[in-house]
Amino acid sequence: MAIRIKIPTPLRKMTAGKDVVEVEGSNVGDALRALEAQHPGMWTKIVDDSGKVRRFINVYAGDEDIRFLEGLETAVDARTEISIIPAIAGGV
Amino acid sequence: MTSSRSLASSTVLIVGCGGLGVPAAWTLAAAGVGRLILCDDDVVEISNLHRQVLYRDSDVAAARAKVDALAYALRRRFAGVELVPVRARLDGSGDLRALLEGADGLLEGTDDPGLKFAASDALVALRGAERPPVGVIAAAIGRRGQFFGQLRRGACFRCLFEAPPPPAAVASCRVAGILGPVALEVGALAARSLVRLLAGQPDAAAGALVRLQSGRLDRVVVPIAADCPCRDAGH
Repeated sequence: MAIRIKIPTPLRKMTAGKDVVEVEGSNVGDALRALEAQHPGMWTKIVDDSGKVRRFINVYAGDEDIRFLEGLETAVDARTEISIIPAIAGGV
Repeated sequence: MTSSRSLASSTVLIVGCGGLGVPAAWTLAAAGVGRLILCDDDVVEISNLHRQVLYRDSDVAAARAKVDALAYALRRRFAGVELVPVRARLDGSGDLRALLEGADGLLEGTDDPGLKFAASDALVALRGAERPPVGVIAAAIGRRGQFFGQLRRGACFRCLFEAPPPPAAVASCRVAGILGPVALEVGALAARSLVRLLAGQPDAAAGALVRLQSGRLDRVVVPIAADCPCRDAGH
């Protein structure tokens, strides 16, 4: 079954406006690579050159920040919803 | 509200008197906070007026400092609130800490990502104080916003995000735009959360990031990062 990835507003221009993308994968990294396959460019928005989630972005598996689990190796299944949460950089 | 009397004896530092700071200041004054320190270094510009709704055309014409214009507007409506305008550009957690000492709460709503971390650092540095302040760190752009409630214990903003975004990734509202009602909503909600934190009441933003996007609110709880200096602060 597909895993749901919730796409934050600033990245939706890369998903043709979709706020949720469904992918296959057994861990968060696999799911994000599958997201990249569907929507090229997403991986580098989320993951840096050393293969770690960028320091101003958080990725949640369900209610848990993956930094406190197994990082990109965190296991997921069809019940898990992945959320990508960037810091809002701008201001008013 | 647990006690309007305790709120009346509270001091809140508002850093940033723009789209978030204006509705936040109004909300805090209306809730009964007794003393507001208003900090910003900008003057009122015509492009501010659609969302920074307490400013007037005459403030633009006079190139009035936002802190003075906001203090004037609040004083007319809330005569009992003590207002302390501080026209300054804060440069780091040291500046913030000096202003924050003796205050009970901090509302950060500037356009400077680094200042959000500095605000968090100042709150953490004061955890050992006799009466440590609580804070809410807020941001908004386009049609979305977010705010984080930092308590006297528990996760800080650095537990949430490890570092500010690089300058190339930073878009100001001047460039990216901001929907006026979004700024008003985020500023007011952030202030409402701060009131509840000041009163020691449970709140959605307590140790959590509340997000507004596409008209919907959600929240994620922030655990203390294992290597974050806040873990041992004040203990």
